[in-house]
Amino acid sequence: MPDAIPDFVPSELRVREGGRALRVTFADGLTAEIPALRLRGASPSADRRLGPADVTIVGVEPIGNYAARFVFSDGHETGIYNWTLLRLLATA
Amino acid sequence: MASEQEILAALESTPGPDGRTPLARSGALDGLAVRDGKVFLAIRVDPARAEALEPMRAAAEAKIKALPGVVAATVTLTAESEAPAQRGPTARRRPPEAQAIPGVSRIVAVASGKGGVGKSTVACNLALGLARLGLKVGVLDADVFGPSMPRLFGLAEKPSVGSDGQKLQPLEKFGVKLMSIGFLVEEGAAIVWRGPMVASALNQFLREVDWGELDVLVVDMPPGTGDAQLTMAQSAPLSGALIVSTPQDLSLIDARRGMAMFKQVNVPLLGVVENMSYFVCPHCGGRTDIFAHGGARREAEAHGAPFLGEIPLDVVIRETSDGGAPVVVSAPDSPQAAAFLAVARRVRAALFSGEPARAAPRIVFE
Repeated sequence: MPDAIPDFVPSELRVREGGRALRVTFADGLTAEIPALRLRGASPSADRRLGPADVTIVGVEPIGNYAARFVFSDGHETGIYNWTLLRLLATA
Repeated sequence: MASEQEILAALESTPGPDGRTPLARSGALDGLAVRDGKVFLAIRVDPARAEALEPMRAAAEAKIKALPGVVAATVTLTAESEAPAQRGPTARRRPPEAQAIPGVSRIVAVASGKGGVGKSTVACNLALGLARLGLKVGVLDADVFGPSMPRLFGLAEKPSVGSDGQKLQPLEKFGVKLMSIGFLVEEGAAIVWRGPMVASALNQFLREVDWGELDVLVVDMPPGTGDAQLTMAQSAPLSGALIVSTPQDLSLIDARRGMAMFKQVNVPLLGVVENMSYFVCPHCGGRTDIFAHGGARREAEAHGAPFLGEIPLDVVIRETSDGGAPVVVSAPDSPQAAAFLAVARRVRAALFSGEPARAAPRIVFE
């Protein structure tokens, strides 16, 4: 699990297309769209149960200074995604 | 740009979940999408076999990645959830929660890494120092297993619940607001709790205490880097952390861990305080560096963190702490109080002047 790095703080997390995609804009200007399916599949939670193919994002909560928690339509909400992980998902 | 046909053709040679039928013809493929050369594919599997089918997933991903025109490939295993869950865009939507505590402008964690370095004494005198500088200050005693604030402030009252029946009223003394688990139990009672109870109690102290308008909430952290630290880092946007250490190497090693922890969770390091920095004999005036001297300053420099000041090992500090009348209040013009006030001035400067605090990301639901 990568450590949170301050330079990768997002300036905006935008849920689009009825929860099917997350657009992340980082403080350095980089913007990327992450499909909900990919975000769900990359959950760092210890709960390794798989999500359905039509999963959507239904909630976003800030976690301290370093991460966000996503709530998914299948009830999965234990993944805490730090900014470095979001950067990885946005650029890989 | 790779087409769907090319991708399916590439998966002809990759066995699907049953180990034989090629993936492309297995009927398990779901949601193939190509977007700007990035390929997203889902494979439906029996959830019980998720780990066993990881090599299949990786093989499919590698196959697709190798195709000309493919910039990136993501293959995800999916399964229908066992429990009935909310489905689709009409599912429960939570509004983006702002984490900041209404009315509280800055939250500072006073931490140490190691126990017994005088963190609570520093936290309490720092809070009183900030109050003396004119700030509205609260103290949250986050050391659930070893609360020190009742003794340090000489308080043994039970906090009451507000008239609306919702929030706990903080106690007030010497001009600061206080909350500690120690006010809710007998002194000497052992709190024997597992992690989730600690997290729950700390969240209640943050959000269900009527702190009112505060410039600074000083949080006295327990020693170490465990549940309480993680809960604080996750439950509130901390404005900064202050590390207390003695000059001794043994204490510095743990202080280093404390600093590393705050870096991991993106909490700015306000600086390091060297407590028990030296001892001046009350009889002969001679100075002895009982726990060595200067190590914390060197450690701060090594980390590029500000050094906030030295507090000497002093019988007066200890006596006023045990007596429930901290030195900043009971001997405000003493050199001991001056040492704490110097730290308070630097903390105030670090919190309120200079760059504005990093804003939290804007959260938008289209």
